Amino acid sequence: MKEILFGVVVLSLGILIIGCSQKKSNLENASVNGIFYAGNGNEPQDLDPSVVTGVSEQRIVSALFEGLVSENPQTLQPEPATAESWDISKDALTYTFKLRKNAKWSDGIPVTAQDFVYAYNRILSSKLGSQNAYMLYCMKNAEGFNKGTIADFKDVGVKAINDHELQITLERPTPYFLPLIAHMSWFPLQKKNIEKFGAMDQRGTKWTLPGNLVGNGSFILKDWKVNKVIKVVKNPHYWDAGNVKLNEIDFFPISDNQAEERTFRGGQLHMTFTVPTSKIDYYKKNASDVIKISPYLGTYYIAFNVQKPPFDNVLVRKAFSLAIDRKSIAEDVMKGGKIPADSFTPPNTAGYTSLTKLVYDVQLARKCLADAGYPDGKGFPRVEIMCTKLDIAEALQDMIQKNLNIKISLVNKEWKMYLDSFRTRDFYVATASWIGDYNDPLTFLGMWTSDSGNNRARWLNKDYDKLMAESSICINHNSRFEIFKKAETLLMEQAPIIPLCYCTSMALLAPQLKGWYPNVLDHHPYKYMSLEKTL
Amino acid sequence: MFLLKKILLKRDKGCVVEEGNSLTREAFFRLRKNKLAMFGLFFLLILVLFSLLGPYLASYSYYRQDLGLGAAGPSFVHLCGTDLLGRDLMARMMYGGRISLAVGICATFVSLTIGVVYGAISGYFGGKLDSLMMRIVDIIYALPFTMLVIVLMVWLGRNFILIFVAIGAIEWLTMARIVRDEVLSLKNKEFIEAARAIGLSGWKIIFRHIVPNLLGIIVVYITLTIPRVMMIESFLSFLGLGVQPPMSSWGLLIKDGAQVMEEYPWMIFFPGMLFSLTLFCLNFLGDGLRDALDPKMKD
Amino acid sequence: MWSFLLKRFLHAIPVLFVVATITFFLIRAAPGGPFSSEKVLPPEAIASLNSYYGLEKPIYKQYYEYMFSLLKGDMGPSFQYTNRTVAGMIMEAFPVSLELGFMAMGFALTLGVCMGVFAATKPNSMRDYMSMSFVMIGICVPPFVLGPILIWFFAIKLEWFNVSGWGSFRDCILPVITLGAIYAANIARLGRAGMLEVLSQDYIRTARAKGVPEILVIVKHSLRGGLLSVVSYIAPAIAGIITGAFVVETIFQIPGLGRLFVLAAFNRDYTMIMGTVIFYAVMVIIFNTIADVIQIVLNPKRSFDEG
Repeated sequence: MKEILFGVVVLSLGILIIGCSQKKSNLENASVNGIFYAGNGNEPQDLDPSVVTGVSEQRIVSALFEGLVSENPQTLQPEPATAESWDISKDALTYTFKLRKNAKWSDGIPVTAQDFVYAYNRILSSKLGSQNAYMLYCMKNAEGFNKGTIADFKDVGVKAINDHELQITLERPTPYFLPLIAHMSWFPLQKKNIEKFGAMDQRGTKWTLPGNLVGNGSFILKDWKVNKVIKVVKNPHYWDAGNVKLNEIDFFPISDNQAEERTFRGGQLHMTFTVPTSKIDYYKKNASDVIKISPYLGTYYIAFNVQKPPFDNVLVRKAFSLAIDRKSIAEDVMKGGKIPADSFTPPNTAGYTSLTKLVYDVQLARKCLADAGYPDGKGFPRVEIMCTKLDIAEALQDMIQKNLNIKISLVNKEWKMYLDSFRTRDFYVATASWIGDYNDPLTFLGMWTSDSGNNRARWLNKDYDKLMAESSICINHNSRFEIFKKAETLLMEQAPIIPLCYCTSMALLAPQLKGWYPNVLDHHPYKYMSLEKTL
Repeated sequence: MFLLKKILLKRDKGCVVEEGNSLTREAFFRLRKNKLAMFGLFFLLILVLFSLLGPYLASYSYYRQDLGLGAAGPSFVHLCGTDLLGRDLMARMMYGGRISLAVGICATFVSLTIGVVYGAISGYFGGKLDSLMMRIVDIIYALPFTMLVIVLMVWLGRNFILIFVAIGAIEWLTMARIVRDEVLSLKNKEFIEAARAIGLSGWKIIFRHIVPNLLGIIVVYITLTIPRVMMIESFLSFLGLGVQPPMSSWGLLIKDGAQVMEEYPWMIFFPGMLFSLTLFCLNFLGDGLRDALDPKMKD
Repeated sequence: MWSFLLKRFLHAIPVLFVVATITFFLIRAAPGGPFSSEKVLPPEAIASLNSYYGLEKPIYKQYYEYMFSLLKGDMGPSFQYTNRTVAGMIMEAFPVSLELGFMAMGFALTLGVCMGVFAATKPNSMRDYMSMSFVMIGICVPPFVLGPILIWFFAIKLEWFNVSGWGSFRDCILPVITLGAIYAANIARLGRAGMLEVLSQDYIRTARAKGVPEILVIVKHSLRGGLLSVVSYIAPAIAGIITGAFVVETIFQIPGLGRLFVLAAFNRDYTMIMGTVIFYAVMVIIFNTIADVIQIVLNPKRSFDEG
């Protein structure tokens, strides 16, 4: 009896296991066929370049579409793409782009200047409600049209001179204009394709589904299985198709970074979207050629609600800033080669480096706190740190308690609640991060003006506003940066926010993958990538 | 939930604990023969002591960090090692044990109270009230349980107390049904008729005479619900909706440990063993009690 | 039987109505809307998004309109995945969940029944303790620990399986074990208890006394009665397994319903939350009805009249 039953169990398990005891190596097969397996974070919400915002979406959209210029994979300098050349007027306000004659959509129809005008009209139309429309605000009257104060799109500074010449007029001099238009919000769209499935400014039509979508990028959308895979294949109509080495890219939406790392280790991915903090040390020690860590255009910081006591007092904010050991946070908590921050704008952002310096000085911190009226933390009201991820906040809590003798509690909020608390200003201190939209200090410093929606500290400072206004009309590169430096110094002195450390981008790369270069935007054009067949 | 109902109802419906102690004694005698259940009981006692008294004896607090130390393996200084922020794992396990057991017990208690009162009222008064109350139970049954917890947590925020209430408020359904069925079968027994004849009010009959007869079921229910709740707590921790650090719970420790189990195996091993053993013991104790309280199970 | 099913169907309508109503208002009460994003949107954009999805209307009106379109079978577009409809996404995920659920249940049944029956043949012995302890792993180890351990051993060390993904039969094995373990434990428990009860009956004693071989006693005379409770456990469990597999779906990267719901809850994808919850409620009702039908068929003491 016993034997028989045991036999049944063992046998069935055995069959199960033996029946599948051979497993082919996916990655090598894929490499031979030129199929690139990429981990891609979250399931993309859509693939409409005018609508999507996330990094996961950006990675796919940039394979399917191409803008006027593209980024050099190493330096991020603008390079000719759909536009083969351009002229800039003397006052730096008018750009004229000459489009390539051989630039084609994936259905074989040539890309024309009208396609760009159409795309810009679409993204700026208020009915579409694009979250990226602000990226085009440097264009003349674009903001007005988007917000409804200008009714006619003809007044917006974009014009198709003929099929192959596009003229863009700017609102004000924008030194970062060319890098900016490599962003997906500036990609062209085919009118015929979009309006086959609905009106121009209608959201959520089916035009972005496989078989429907027509793009002008180096790849075509072939398959899209929700939460499973998105496949794109090489576009034969792409103007530079001869230089595209990959035959196919499979994007896997693996939102759990632990699962993604395991999938990579199991040999199913050429590239991961990110690396779990806990695995960094392991890879650095055992497989340092696989893990890639590079500076990323972003900063972790804490924001004070400066309109709510006790943080309306600059001395309290200073005391907190001085009591934080950034080095320990960067190295022991965040890991991955993070650098402690001395400014909000990461150093060498398009050549700009702030002059500020942030120090860790417990004695001075205590003195500041005493001057603010809380000697040795006495009488300090009960406040809390709001966060969405615990590691930094936990370390901060401990540091503040140790160094300032202030007890703070932690509130770990679910993402949407966290965002909502900023909106309703229902927080004291919050950990946060900011990733720059484009490679220019303005994307970091512009957000702390009084009228900015992203000013989470609700810090209102007339001097700062004046400096930023000055910078926006300044044409000279160097004097513009000088103004930025003044503004950043003011920001650090007033300390409505405290930078903690700069972000890094992390990825695991299989050795077969070539043509991947680190850069501060973590953009990696697929055109340059290739897969080595043998190792 | 259906499972629980089945397990609990193994008890003979006709049997009434009016015969005094002998049955309880007999049940305990039968329980003692089940070595696994006895082991479970014994081990649970140790665990409770470990969690309750441990923090007073430990030389580290559960929240004090040592960032420079980071994750360190077991040593004589830190018997179970430290976590990623350099906190003593043993201290966190003791403290986490308190929270996890408290979550389990409180949620079970909440659900028990609601379930018994609800079921007893529904069963005793019967008629329209009964069918209305049972309809409500049906509706809540059809609510997707995990989904409901998540929606509740999202709505209420991450609040430690509310975790008890949310879980307890959902777990009571089975108990209500079981108690109702039992009450229905007890209602027409002679001793209840007698109580009614001497003019006792409905409430008194329910709580003086009917509920005590359900003690066996209640005990089994408790031992089987606590592990379920602890499991749910760990699931919520996995979603990031559970207890928040620097507080700790076993669910949280396991979730953190599971993420680094290859690099720092001790971070999953110790809390994982503790958690699994506790669940194991509670489940076996529950099964054993059910067997023991089932008078048909005599060999 | 048909009148029984009709009655169940009529009962289901108010249940679904209440489920939909509760979820609708609970989720609207949660802080943060579907369009709150990291970079703050200009008010004009929010206004146009709200008007597109009808969120600017008073809540009772939204409720009324949602329920009305639900009656027509329209669950609306997903807020999160802009080019998809809720119904479309559910229908895409459902077959995957169904497949995973049935396979996990098959595994759980095989293991659970074997172990349960095996344990019951000699209660309170080493055999009993060992087999029950083995299956109990399923309810004592959280799936988010069991899954990674299985992956680490079978997929990374031994390289027998893929770490994650959903394509071939081979991809199903690890998730099925992880998901089925907890159900296997419960089935083993029910099976053991049921068998114990049956084996103590007089007719079994008679059979044994007559010299019927033990194996026949178990397989022929007691399995049917002993596993009655297991049978009625399966149907509602399948409903749970199909939608409650979030952890396993996350760990193994399976495009099922559980992930759809949990992500929708975190993203405040109102229509998707409503859609998945209602769909789940329908599943629960269907499988519970099936369970009752099976029980009535198998158990002569019950009849279709009782409702």
